[in-house]
Amino acid sequence: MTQDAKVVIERELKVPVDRVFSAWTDPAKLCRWFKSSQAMKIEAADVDLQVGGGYRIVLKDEDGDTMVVFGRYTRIEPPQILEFTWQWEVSSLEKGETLVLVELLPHTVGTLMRLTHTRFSSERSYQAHEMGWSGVLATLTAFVESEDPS
Amino acid sequence: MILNQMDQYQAVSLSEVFHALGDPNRLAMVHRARQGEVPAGELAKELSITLTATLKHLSVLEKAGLMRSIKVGRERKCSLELQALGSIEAWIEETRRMWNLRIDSLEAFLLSENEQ
Repeated sequence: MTQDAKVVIERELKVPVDRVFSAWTDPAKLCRWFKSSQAMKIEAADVDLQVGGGYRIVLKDEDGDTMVVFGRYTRIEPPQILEFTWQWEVSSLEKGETLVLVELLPHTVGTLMRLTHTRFSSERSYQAHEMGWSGVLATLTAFVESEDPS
Repeated sequence: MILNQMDQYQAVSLSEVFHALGDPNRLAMVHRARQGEVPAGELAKELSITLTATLKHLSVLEKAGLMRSIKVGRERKCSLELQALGSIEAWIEETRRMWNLRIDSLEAFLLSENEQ
């Protein structure tokens, strides 16, 4: 596969752009929301908000396992643009850096937030994973293997 | 469950995969590449088709994410890409899920700030 994998999510938020930008960049605020489940806890958030500066967020999931995500800022244009690299210290799903772009556009309700997370196609990022498409592909592989081209 | 969650991107890939494998020469190429990296010239010879035809088939397989190729000197080396495709789709799915949940949390936080 030669193209980059990309996820784009848009969401309308009922607060002004600068409040959303602040939630993304103030470590005290990050500590209050940067989790992907209710049971998850945010243990620490360190932010060095300058281009080339790093961030590091320590999360603890419901099983008590610690997960760390970190990266560095590549674009900072308050209060509308924030771009940073994204990397898990340990992950079964991705290795190496990916890139997150957060765009905050003024909108009638407050803010239209567009988040773009890109994984660049490169050898080192590839890893088999037993979910989703790999299930279809396992079937496909079995099919291909059962065919005799000669 | 997984099939329901597929976005357009993935559905297109799926039909491309089946289209790509619907041709006996391309199926044979995938089968041959399972044994390891193989030069396009060698594939052409083994299939008794021209190099031009082989490269056309290769391009269809590459678009479907089933094979990839790299030019080394005057040769084009082909290899299988099944694992990478599976991995990318899994990454897309998991990344979308994770951000949607995280943005839910952001939304709740922003609204709670309003009340303060």
